[in-house]
Amino acid sequence: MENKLARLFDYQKFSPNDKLASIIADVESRYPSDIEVLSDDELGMLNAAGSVDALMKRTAEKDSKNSKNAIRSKNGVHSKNALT
Amino acid sequence: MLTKEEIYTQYRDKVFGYVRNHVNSPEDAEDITSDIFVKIYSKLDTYDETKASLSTWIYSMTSNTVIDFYRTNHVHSEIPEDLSDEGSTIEDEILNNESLELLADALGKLPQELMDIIVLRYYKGLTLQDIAVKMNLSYGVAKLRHREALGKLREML
Repeated sequence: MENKLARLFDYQKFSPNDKLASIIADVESRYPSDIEVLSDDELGMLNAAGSVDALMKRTAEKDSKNSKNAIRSKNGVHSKNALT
Repeated sequence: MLTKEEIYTQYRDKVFGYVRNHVNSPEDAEDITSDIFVKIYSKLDTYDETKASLSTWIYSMTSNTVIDFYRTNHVHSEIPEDLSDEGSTIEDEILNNESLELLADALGKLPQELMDIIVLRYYKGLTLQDIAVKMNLSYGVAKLRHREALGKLREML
């Protein structure tokens, strides 16, 4: 019975029956997926976005450090970073 | 009998949709779909319409090719559970729209809780443990309800 059900539901993925599709949709609406599985493409985009984000963070930190050093040197204070 | 072109036009989306459902990478899905049509064309003269409908025959070839993909490229344990029924052949199963209709009717006669367990287990591929969590049941109760649902379906199908 279990094999038969597995096979029938698998065949439904190949050649959907409308009545069964509506039962499945009904059940799915009661139990929405907690986690969306990302495709390889989406994972690639996520990685790319992550890299850009990290790069921007590093650039922002560098800019902030540079401007602090500029203010310090303007006020005659020399930090170790400013001298290197 | 359909020509190769007609088979491609009629079944391309079904085959690709099914493969995409089982395989994460769109590139792999495209490759597998191409392989399936090569197989279909090369074995078309062996197709016996007295044994299975063309749709069932193509489905069988499609699901076997997806299993082969997992066997060749992945560890055996990664074969989706709904595809790992190794002993079955299309001859001993009736897979057509009518059998899906009968399943839908039988599911419709089950109490909602039992129907949910069957769909989550056999369509969504969840374990009974996951189903218990999703449905707010103890594992023991989920197991009992699952057995009850199988018993009722066995009587109806």
